[in-house]
Amino acid sequence: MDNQEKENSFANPFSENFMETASKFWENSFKLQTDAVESMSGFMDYFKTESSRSKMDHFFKMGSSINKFALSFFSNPKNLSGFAGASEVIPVLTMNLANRLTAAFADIQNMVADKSSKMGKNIKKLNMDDFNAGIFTIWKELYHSDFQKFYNIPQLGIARNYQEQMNTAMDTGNQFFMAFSEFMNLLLVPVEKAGVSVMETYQEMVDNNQLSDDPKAIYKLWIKTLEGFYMQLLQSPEYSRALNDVINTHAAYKKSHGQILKAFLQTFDIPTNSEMDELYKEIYQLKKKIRGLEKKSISMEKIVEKKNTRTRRTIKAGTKKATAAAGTTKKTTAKTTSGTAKKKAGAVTRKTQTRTRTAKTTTAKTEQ
Amino acid sequence: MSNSNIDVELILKKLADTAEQAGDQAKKAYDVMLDEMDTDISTTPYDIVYQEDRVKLKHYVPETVKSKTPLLIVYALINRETMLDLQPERSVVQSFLARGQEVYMVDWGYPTRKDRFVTIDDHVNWYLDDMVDVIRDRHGTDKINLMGICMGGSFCVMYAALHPEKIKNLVTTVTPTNFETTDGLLFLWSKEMNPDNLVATAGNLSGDAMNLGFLLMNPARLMIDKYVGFMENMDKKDFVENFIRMERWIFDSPDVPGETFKQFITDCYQKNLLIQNRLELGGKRVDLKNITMPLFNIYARFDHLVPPSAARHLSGKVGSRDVTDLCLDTGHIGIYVSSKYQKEFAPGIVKWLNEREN
Repeated sequence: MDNQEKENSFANPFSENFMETASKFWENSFKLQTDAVESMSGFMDYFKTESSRSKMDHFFKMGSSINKFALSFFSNPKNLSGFAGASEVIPVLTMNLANRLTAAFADIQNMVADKSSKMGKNIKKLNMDDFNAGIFTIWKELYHSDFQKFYNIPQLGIARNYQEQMNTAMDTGNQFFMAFSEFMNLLLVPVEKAGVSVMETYQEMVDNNQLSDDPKAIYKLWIKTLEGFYMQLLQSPEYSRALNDVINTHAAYKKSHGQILKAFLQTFDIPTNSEMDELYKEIYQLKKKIRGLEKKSISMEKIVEKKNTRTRRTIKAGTKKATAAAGTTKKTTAKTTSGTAKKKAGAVTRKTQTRTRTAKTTTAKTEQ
Repeated sequence: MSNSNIDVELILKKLADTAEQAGDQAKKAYDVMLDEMDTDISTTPYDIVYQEDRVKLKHYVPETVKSKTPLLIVYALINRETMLDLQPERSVVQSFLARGQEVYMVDWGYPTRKDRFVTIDDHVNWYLDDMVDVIRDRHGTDKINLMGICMGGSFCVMYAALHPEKIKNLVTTVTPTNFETTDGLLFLWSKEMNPDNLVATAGNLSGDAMNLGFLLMNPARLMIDKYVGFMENMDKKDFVENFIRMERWIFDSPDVPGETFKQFITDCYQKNLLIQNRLELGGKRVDLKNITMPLFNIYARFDHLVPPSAARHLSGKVGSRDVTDLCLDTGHIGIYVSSKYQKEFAPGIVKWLNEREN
């Protein structure tokens, strides 16, 4: 190390002494701390254990060696001059970086200018005779080709889903309002045309001295003309397209809006529409199943009821026959035998009564 | 502008007269609007004899029952059945009752989001079938008379084709069955429509959205001229009451269950399956040839919602030999509410049914 190097050296005696003193200060303060901890009986047992103490020793030794390494590094004048040389390069690098950033920014500006010039080109194409329809077409094209892309920039990080949902909602909202404006503009076309047409007719009437003295006549003429122009519009494919655009973009807007609302509701533990829909579907399917089973059971009950009715009729017929037979016996046999016949008839009646009761019980059970 | 001999003084005098009249009218209108008004609709008494979910079965009994077979009226899912009983002197229901016809009527109620999965099959083979069975049980009869209105008529056609053993006579009024037509705006617009988008967010098709759609079918008359007419007649209490009744009915629009709407648009308006015997409900094909009972098909010449070309083809597609077609010179609603057709419509149906009673 020559004199010059020594002068430039950061490792002069003062700094060497400072580094050593600092290392020793922290070592000693740790020792003091451990001694203090040892003096506290029953407190912080962790620091009293051999393993914990060796870990702390190791930690301070590592710190001391890092200090020593730094000291030796900066003691070497070559290292220090290299370090100083690097600091001279920083302004150059900064300049370079700034230049590149400016260039990139200028490129973006050029791109924007390029897009803007395209905008101008499109507007030049606008036919002033059909300004209303043309302006919506141009705006729509411009939106889809230039502006919409910004809403589709991929999002990053933990909240990327929410940010994307927000972007989609804004994008669909723009598209809906665009379609709605176009639709409303289309609806106003017949009003404009009817106004012009009525003015022309009115002028003709004035010229031909045929003007009606009834003020209502003008209104009647206007409403009839308006209706005619509306009928033309409503049957046109342009109207169908505009109407469907409104419906479709509105659905997309509400859907994206709903996604945000859903995320919001979920944070408050409030059931969302899609969760409720799942539940409704399950209930609907269960009800349908139950109804199917109910219908089956009712038709089975009817079959049983029919069978029971048939049985009852047969039994009734049997009872009548038996009663008739008993009557005949009564008339034809001697008084002495009448008791036997009565018994027989009674037995038949009892039997039929028992059958009827069984049938009734079956009906009651099926009704239950 | 060329010189003309317009009597400007006369025009100004007319304008002044009109302004004076309008002033007098406004004073009277003020009294009318602040006075108590009778604007109730559906005032004929009835009983609810059956209810399943939101669907109710109304029962109207005449003072003297002359009909042997009860009549079940099925209204559309769009707007409400109260149209048939709008006001005492313009009530199809009262007209039926006056001729001794016992009437049952389906009230579809107000579907909510939980009804979004209910299909046409459910309406036809579930609710309607249950109600037909209830009436059959109540009257101890195998068959009843069935009358459908608009979309309700389409449901009746489907039902009669799937359950012909339960229907004695079928009456269809302004009923769309052939959807391959360009006569009505609805048929034009729905061809390109994506019904999923209309019901995706709300679950059902909103009644308000539907009303807006109907108004847009003739904005000049329905959104301007109609109310100009109202302003001109605001001093007449009867006119105002009837106008309000009509407004109450028109804008009382329940939502249409999402699945039903989607299926109706896709299978009927876009694919026209019903008239081709290709529509399927609950796995069963709806074959119009199964409609072997007498059919009375009534439609309106100036109907902008169901034009004659959408309604008249049914008669040639059914299996019945007893088919009567009647085209009336009125509009979609005029059949039921115009004073002219009060004397022809319901009395004509009762007569036709009585002729087929035995």
